[in-house]
Amino acid sequence: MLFGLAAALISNLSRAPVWRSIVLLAANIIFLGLLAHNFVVLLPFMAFLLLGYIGLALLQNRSSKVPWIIVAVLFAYLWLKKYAFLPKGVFLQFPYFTLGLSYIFFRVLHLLIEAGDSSNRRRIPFLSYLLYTLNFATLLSGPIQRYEDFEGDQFAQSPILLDWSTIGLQLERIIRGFFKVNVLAVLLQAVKDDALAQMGEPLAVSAKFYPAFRLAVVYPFFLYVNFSGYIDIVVAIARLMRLRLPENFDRPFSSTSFLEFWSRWHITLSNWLRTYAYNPLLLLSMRRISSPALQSLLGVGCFFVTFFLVGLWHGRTSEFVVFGLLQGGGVAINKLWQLGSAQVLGRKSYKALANHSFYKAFARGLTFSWFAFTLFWFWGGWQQIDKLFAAIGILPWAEVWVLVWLSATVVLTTWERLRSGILSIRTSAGPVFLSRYARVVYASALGLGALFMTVSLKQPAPEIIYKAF
Amino acid sequence: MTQVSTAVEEQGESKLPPRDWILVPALSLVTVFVMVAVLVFLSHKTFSKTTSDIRQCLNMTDPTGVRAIPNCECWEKNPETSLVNYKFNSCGHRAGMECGPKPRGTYRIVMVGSSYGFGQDVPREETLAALLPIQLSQRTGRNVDLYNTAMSQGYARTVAMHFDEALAAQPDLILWILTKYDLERATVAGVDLNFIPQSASGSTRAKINYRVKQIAAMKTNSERISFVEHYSEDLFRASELGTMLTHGLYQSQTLYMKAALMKSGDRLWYVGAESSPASREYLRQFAGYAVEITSKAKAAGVPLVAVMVPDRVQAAMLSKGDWPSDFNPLRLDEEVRTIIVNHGGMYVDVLPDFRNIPSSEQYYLPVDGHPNQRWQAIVTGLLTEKLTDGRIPELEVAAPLTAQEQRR
Repeated sequence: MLFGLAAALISNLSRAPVWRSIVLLAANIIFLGLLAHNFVVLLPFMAFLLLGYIGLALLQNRSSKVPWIIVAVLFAYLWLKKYAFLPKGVFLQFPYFTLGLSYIFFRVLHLLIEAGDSSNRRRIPFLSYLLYTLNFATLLSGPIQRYEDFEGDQFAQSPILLDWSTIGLQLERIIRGFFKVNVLAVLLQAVKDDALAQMGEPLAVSAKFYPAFRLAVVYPFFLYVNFSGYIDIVVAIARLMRLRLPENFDRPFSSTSFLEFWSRWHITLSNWLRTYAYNPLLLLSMRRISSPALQSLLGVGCFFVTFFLVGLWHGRTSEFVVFGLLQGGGVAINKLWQLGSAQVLGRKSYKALANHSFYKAFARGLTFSWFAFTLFWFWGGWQQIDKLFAAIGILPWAEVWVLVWLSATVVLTTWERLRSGILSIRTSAGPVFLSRYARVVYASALGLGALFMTVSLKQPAPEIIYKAF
Repeated sequence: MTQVSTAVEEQGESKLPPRDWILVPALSLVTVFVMVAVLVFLSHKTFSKTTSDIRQCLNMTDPTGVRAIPNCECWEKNPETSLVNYKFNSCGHRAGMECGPKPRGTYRIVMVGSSYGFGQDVPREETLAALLPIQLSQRTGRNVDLYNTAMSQGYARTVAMHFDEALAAQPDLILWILTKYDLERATVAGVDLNFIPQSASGSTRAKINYRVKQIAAMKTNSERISFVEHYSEDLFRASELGTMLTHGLYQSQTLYMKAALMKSGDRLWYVGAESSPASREYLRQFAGYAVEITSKAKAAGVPLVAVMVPDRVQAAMLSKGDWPSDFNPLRLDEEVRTIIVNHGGMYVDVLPDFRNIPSSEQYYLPVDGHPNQRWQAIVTGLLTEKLTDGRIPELEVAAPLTAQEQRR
């Protein structure tokens, strides 16, 4: 965080694009150096970047081998990330740096696909390519920014405005992010680990009911504060460097369907996959299958494949295959439900039902519960999952999940009401609780809370989970 | 919130009015001040401590180790406990009875040890010393009493030096409650370097002077830096606010264990998988006093039973059931057992039983580290089981009194 703030400060010494690019490049190199410590471990990482740029250069020179270049980059990525389905013998046998490789992969693939598009034949200089792919603010865990957006801000002759008011907003966001990562995430992770430990203790099944409930409920919140807190910090730092990064979260737990959830959670990843997986897949299948009766089902299938890929991207083991199946299954069933309900009830009646506050409340609770359920394959290994499910048995677990659904329904709906009530208190300048003064009050309170927590505990915050991907 | 804040930013806020250059920092300062004031008020209400404490009844500078002033009575409220009474008899023991010969027909256990056995921070009627004879009497059907000579900071050397007092209480059995503190401070008798005497606990100036003298007495700069670092940490934790925050956080087994395992140097010597040089030195020093104590007991013809009880870190590790490969909370138990048994004492294992006690770390005061009432009851149960399992024939379940015992 301090590194980012220092880079932002130096970057603002001049508004000239050249200066800002030099500072960003230097910051990227120093950042990589601080993470890697050793030049040798960076070699495969750099080779991957170079491969991406060679592919890009070929495409910019009107090469017709788009699919082969993309396959080569894809294979290089899977190989460097040591995906379990590849034979072990083919992997490099020395330790090397892979942090942020997934996010670089998305950016490189985005550039290649766009460069392969015959209507888009602009040249991207190597330096711009490096600045974009290695941008230290987005290197470790995203958000996944489009090149046009990056280019628009980074190389603009007159960079975007950065006044005191904006600086204040960004500092407030950094404090908010810091509080999420260093206070809330620490506490929520402790709740989860305590519950996990209790599930393994010699307790009666009835005594394990509450730990099981805590375990189910707490991880989605932990993951949210851990990841969105980090995103808050990097988005604010980038903004202080006059770069606007896309938002990655939009109050995901207010979603009333699993489809909506994925448009509010890790937004840049779902957008990327929607653009480069879902849309082409849907177009391709629609071209092949022309039956109007099957067209709506094609969308369901494409949703399943896209979100299966989302799940699969998160890890290299079989647990993530299940995680992907549950994500894909969740959105596919959700889509089928929407189609089926509309068919049975009629579009108008279904729309009215879906907008009913009770329906929305229960749907919100169910969306949260499903996501919480799928996350067991995100954080747990098979052995751990087996032990957890064996700890209390099938029926008590079913009861736990019903309770999670009901609790989420009540708590999330209460929160939604409370929030809209708070935001409805307005002056002519907007909601009182979003005013500059309100922000100063809660940023100061959060800052003090984070300070006390740091001094009391003297423990490092948990790692940013998405850094591992 | 994220989307809303972005929207506000995109709309473009009005330029910062000149008054905000004063108002915004002032508002921030007021917020911090109000929050601190509220927290200090809350911590004072819930985690206060009494100005008087147990040290009023203790003679910390006695060359034979800490002693209580005979017939002294004092009260102490640890920030994490309610007000606790400490009443000492005419021999300076928190025994709950007068010193002197045991009543006829009674099987007497004399307990020795330090603060865990003493029942620090726990009302006497809820201590191990009070509960154990009741349970043993019920279990064995005979009249068992327990005379407690354990003392706050009564480590191995003090136990050895005060052992004649224990024998004077006419024990049928001597029970030595051991903790890791009894080993790492085995040689300490009297003033502990980390313990501020009563004379230095009054004014802030006196406290500072005392600590400055301590620092000046240290040999190396690294020793001084480490002392200041730990002392400032302890100072914050000792404040009511620090205690309140740490107490809340350390309720979590995970957070507590992480904090404990981050301790530097040899502070975790007693749970290391391998015996470190510091550990070997502590054991060597302890063994010296253990030889003296077991020999005296043997000479008096009184069986001595030693038992190692876990501190909060050991208890948490054992309850959790797994620990990092470079740790082993049971190692010290084995080593102490070897020392005691080799010198003719008996040893009772209770540490492995803590594996069957879920979240046993909750039975300790999270910041202070001393065990609470519930712990005293749990250990009483464990000791009752072990002492009546036949290893002490006189305490075997429902064993009839011998003719000699009846006469006594």
